[in-house]
Amino acid sequence: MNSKSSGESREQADDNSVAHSCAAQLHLFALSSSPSVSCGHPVCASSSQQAMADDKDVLRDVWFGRIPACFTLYQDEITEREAEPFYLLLPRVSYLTLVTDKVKKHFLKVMKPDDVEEIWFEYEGTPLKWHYPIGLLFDLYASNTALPWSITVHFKNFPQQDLLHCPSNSVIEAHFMSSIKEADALKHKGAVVNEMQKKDHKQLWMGLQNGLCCDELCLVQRGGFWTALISSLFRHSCATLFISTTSNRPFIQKLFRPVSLDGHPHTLGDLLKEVFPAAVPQNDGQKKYQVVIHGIEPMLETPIQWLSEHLSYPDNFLHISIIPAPSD
Amino acid sequence: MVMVYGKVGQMSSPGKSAVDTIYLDEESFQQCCELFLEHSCALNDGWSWEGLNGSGEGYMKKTVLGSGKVNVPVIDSSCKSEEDFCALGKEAQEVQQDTEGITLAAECSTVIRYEYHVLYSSSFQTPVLYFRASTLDGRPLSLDDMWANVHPNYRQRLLQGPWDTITQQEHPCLGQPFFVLHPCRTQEFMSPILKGAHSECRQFFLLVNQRTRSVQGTAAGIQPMFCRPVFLLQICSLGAQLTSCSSCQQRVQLRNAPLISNPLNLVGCIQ
Repeated sequence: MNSKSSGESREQADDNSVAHSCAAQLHLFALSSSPSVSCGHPVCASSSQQAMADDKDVLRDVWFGRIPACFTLYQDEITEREAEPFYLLLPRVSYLTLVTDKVKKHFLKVMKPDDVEEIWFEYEGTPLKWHYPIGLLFDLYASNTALPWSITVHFKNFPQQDLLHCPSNSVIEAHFMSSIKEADALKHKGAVVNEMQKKDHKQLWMGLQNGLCCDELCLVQRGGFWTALISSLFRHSCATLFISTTSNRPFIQKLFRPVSLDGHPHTLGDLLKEVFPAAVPQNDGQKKYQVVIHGIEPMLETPIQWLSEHLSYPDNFLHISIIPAPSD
Repeated sequence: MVMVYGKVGQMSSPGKSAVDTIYLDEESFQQCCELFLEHSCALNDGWSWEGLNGSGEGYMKKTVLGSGKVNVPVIDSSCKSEEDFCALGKEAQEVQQDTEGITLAAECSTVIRYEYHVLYSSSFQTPVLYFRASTLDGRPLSLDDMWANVHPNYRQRLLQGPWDTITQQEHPCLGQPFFVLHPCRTQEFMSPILKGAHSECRQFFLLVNQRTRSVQGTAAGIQPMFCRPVFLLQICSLGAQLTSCSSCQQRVQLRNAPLISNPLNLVGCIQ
């Protein structure tokens, strides 16, 4: 009986045309393309034309967002001479092991080959999962601390219980493509990925590696696959919630419809109420958690559809961090 | 233990491609697990349910101990053979490794703990198999170590068959690295079983647990090495469908309908 009712609702969701809701009022802290992660000017979208222009800026800022980081070699690593820290601007939408070749080369200069095993990164005792996008890692662990982000580099004692191995770039590529497929399965039942060939996957991956932004991928990607992957007509939203205070699970991934059965757009608040109600502040005001996406705390009234279209990562997922609110 | 569950699902509407309307929802997965666990209990096969937070969500799991061989780095100063090395106590072995010298790899016989977890993927709406192996002191086995412990005959067959790509993924509930197995060519595996399928639209939940003999070949020690993955096959009388696997990028024409598979491109593959 249950499967019958959910079958019906699925039918309905397919028939719903999902409209853009750009005219909604949104207050965002705009990401600038300068090194600081968030500067504070609110952007208010009133007319829909203004909204469209601002939306494009948001997309660009998200894809070009950078985090200044300072890499320091772990003190117990064996070096031939003192290792200087290495500074680097990290793209929020990329992956640690993909963008840190320079870091590795810098430290290898002062080490003997025998003392070098697989590289791994740690922040304040927590091994950093390279398969999470950099921006997500920062939001989860370091968003309320002073910049630059201090990351410790290790070449020994790889924490096999915590981290996936990353022997080569093709492993990163496999993870990225696997996310794309998963997102496509959720949104379009796998229809877009099914049409892509291996060379299309390669092109997408090269686009990410070369730092192309979303618009450029729309133009460059042959066959319009990128445009189809991110298309706004989808049956479910791909949202993954990462809650840094829950030791139970590393993340919660929920299927979430962008529009309710009676046509109302679901909001960020709706998603939170269902998955992590503690993050929705009660009437008596005290905010226990911050809900952060790409370094921004969107208003809870923001439609999920809009968030999905503008704040998704290149892997087509909306990764949301929920962190304890800083106490004053 | 081979269990095949049938559940009558909806007939897909004419004109719509079957893959659009067929899925396994989480509740059905949980129901199938309940049935599976009942059978497992009756056979004393060791599967159990691991619930999450008191919600209905969770996964099936099974832990098995077996003996096998593991590659251990050896400093070739005083240890001339693997027997010498293994004869040392654990502390002595560590001392050996710390001292300067030439590093070799030696095979060491030890007890291995295998863990199998069957989870539900809400993205692909299908069950997924996660597994890992470690020594009793918690050291995880590499993929090479695991393959080395599969009897050469089985290894060859497994590598040829659909189970030739395994990737390391983060376990969605535990956050730890596990290996995930996904078949490339489901049709080859499933079609003999499903040729006899009823023409009605059914959802099947198939779990195949293959037991192989121990590496030493003793009949007494039957050890499960690899479980065949759990996956859902949507069967529909609408005919063949095209599906492609992420790992080999082949377009798999599912002839000999009725056989449709849900997206089985669960993970990418290591090139």
